[in-house]
Amino acid sequence: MTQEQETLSAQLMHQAQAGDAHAYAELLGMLTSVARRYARGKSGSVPWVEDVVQETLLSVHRARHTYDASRPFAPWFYAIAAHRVVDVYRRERRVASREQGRDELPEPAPVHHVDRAGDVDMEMVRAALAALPERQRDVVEGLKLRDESVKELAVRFGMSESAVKVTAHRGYQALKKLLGVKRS
Amino acid sequence: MSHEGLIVTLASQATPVRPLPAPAVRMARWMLCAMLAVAIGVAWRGIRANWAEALSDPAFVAANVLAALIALTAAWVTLTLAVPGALRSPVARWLPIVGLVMWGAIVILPLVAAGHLASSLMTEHAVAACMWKTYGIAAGPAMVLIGLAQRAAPLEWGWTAGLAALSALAFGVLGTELICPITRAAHLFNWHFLPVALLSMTALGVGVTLNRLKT
Repeated sequence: MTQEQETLSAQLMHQAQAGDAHAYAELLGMLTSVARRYARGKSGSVPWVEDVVQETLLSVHRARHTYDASRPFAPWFYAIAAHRVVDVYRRERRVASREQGRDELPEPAPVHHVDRAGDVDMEMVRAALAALPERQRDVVEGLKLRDESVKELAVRFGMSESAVKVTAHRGYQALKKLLGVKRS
Repeated sequence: MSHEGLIVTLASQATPVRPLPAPAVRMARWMLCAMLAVAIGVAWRGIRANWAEALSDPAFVAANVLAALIALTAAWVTLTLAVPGALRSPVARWLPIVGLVMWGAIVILPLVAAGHLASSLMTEHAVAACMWKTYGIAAGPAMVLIGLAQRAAPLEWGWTAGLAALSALAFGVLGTELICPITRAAHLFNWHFLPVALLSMTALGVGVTLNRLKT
């Protein structure tokens, strides 16, 4: 924090304590870059630097009544920022210790060919999809397997959105028949 | 939330705040409360019959002056530590703990000099009433001190809790010393010093652990 920033921060905080929202917003804006520089200086370019910045701003907000205008601003601010760096570092380390790399994961269990409804064999679904007319199959796969939107499919197949919906509906009905699903 | 969004939200909550009173003012308020608790405790249980004799004993005076200094420095550090950046020296927080060790040493010295430390401590009668007196007198001041610290913005909860407990307990033991007529060093160590040392160190440990779990 430069001497100029120090003086300005103290002034703005004094105004913020009196309820001046503009001064407070200006102060927080300035402290954002100061906190970011500080966090980078302490921990390097780690991905959680921005978390430190936000935690620091929140702590400044909660502690703003403790700032004494007759004292320098920098020690007050850096004490908060230093603790937030440590807090976020500890949190990230704890999270990292609980996460596993892909290579460390155990072998996946054999795939169960039963969906969440519990009674549909995925092989049967694939076979039923293959039995649908080509356009119906493309639309159903696009909507249900590739999470594409009606609009995207309409553009791709040169159809109106209503036509895509009608085709999809017909596809679902045909699938139900092929799979022997009864209406509940 | 983006930084800009956060700043807008925080700035919209920029209501006028009441600045924290000066540390000396907060300290004076707490001392008033602590002295009141000691006075109530002593008035309730009655002052020791041999108080004049105790006051003429240099070891008694030294131990209690030290306990008073521990109470005051621990309270001062607690209140200062609760304001970000106010405690400049990292050594300051250790002063009350050094005082605690010295107090323990003064109390135990006669037993060490006589060469029967372990046997005296092991055979000393259990007088838990002194421990409860200390805790009873300290309860109010401890809550007030933690309240005063909480009113600020403590960043290190472990130290704040531990030193607040130490300060209140040291005041509590000053009250107990005015009530309890027993002068045996083993009793003073087991039932005056240890309850203060163990509970305040437990508070420090619990505070540090909770602070780490919170983050």
